[in-house]
Amino acid sequence: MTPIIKVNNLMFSYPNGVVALRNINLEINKGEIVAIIGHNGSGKTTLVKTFNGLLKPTSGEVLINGVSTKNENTAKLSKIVGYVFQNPDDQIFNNSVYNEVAFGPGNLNLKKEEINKRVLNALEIVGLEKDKKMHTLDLSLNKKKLVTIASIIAMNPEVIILDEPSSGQDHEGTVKIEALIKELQKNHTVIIISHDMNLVSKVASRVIVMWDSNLIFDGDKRTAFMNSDLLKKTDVSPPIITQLAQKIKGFRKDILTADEFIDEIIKLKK
Amino acid sequence: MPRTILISYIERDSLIHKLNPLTKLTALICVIILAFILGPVNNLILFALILPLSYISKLTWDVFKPIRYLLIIFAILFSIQGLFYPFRLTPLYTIPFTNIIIWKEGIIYAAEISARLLVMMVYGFLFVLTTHPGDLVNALRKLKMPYKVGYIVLSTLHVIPSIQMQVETIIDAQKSRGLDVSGNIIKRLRAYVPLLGPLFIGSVQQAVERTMALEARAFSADCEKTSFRQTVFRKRDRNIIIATVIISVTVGVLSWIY
Repeated sequence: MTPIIKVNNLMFSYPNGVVALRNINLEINKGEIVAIIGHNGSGKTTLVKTFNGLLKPTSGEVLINGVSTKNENTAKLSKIVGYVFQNPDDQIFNNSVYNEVAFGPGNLNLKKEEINKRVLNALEIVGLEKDKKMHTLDLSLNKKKLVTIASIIAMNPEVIILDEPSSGQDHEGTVKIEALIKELQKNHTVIIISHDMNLVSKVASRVIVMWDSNLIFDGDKRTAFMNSDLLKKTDVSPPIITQLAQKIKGFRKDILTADEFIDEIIKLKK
Repeated sequence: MPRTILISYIERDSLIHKLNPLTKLTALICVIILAFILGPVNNLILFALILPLSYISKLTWDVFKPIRYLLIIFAILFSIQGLFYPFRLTPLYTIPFTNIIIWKEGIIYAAEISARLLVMMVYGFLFVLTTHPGDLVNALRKLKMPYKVGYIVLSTLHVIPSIQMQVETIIDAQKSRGLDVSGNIIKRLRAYVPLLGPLFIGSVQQAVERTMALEARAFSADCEKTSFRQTVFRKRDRNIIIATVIISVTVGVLSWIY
């Protein structure tokens, strides 16, 4: 099976000469939830921008379903790779939630009924059915984020990229987004960029670590959170519960959730 | 990270960078006045003089980059003036099989304006690229310019690159939602409509927040203000100003007489 995204020897430098990506190789398969983590400026956002053709490789190639992005424009690639930007205010411009979500599918040359179906479906997935007539300016930040995600879901791309989905979200918002990402996995491949290790540990199965324009780790999240050198280098702290477990003698070092923690206590008691 | 080249200060260690902003400003004003007095040929000579200056300022080709934005204006100028200049007398060229005549006077007039624009653009650009906005405002404040006006000047210079970056992000966000920004001009203009909302709202929001952030740092405090960046008015600044003014007046008067 061809991977949905395949990156070969990707290099990218900005016109001012700053090298943002060095020799990146990776494959992302259908149905995965991949988290990309790393410092600010490590190249995470640049990397995902090459996935939908916003940025073209300086050398090397990015293949989407086996086709190079080189000669494809973003408008076309957006049918396969949807990208939700970090700041909702950069993309929301319509007067109502419904119209905002309908903008993407409208660009795909679909029939009216199909657009309507998709918009309602997307709003239902993110839980905003009741707000469809609301003015976008009256929305809370939590809801604005959900609208931007819905606007990509409505385009029904195979891959959905979420840039910092939990930034600026309160606890309630983060919990909703967690659930939403798990829901999205049923029909989509999901890539998240995040600094929120709680979120990463809960939703992702695979972690890609970027550091100084290089990909320095690509693998299972438990392996990543146990690799102290890696964590030190990138200044990432694993979730609190993992840190706690790692300090207790006799505990497994790769615990990620409260449930696993409790299981471990019960096991030790016996 | 911006993909287009920003029109803003570029740090270099050069004589022109070290000059007092007022010196450069005076020279710029002299050049602009000269550009209006001189004819197209002399303006082109004036334009050529930017070469040694850009070499001294260690900017090399950066100064010439904005010229590409002028090309459209030149194209419009030459076609409209060439065809419809009101004081047309001498036909220069008749487009075959039509009655469309290009007039000599119109072309000359367009050349005059273009040369002027060219000179003003490159020298203005040299000024912006070699002068730190903070230094400019400092220098102007020493001439008793009110602090608030100084801030307006400074923020204007800051706001252009920041809006440029914002526009890029917004365009990217909409492209990611299938917005096609290619095609003919009407299609493209229509495609840009979705960008205006976020841009205006974002700019207003930013302005409001910036005001509060400034007030939180005692912007309107009623006392003498000092600055971190210091500008010095050296002897060479005085000499350069005197020399520039004398040369400009001489050249101006000479070209006016002949």
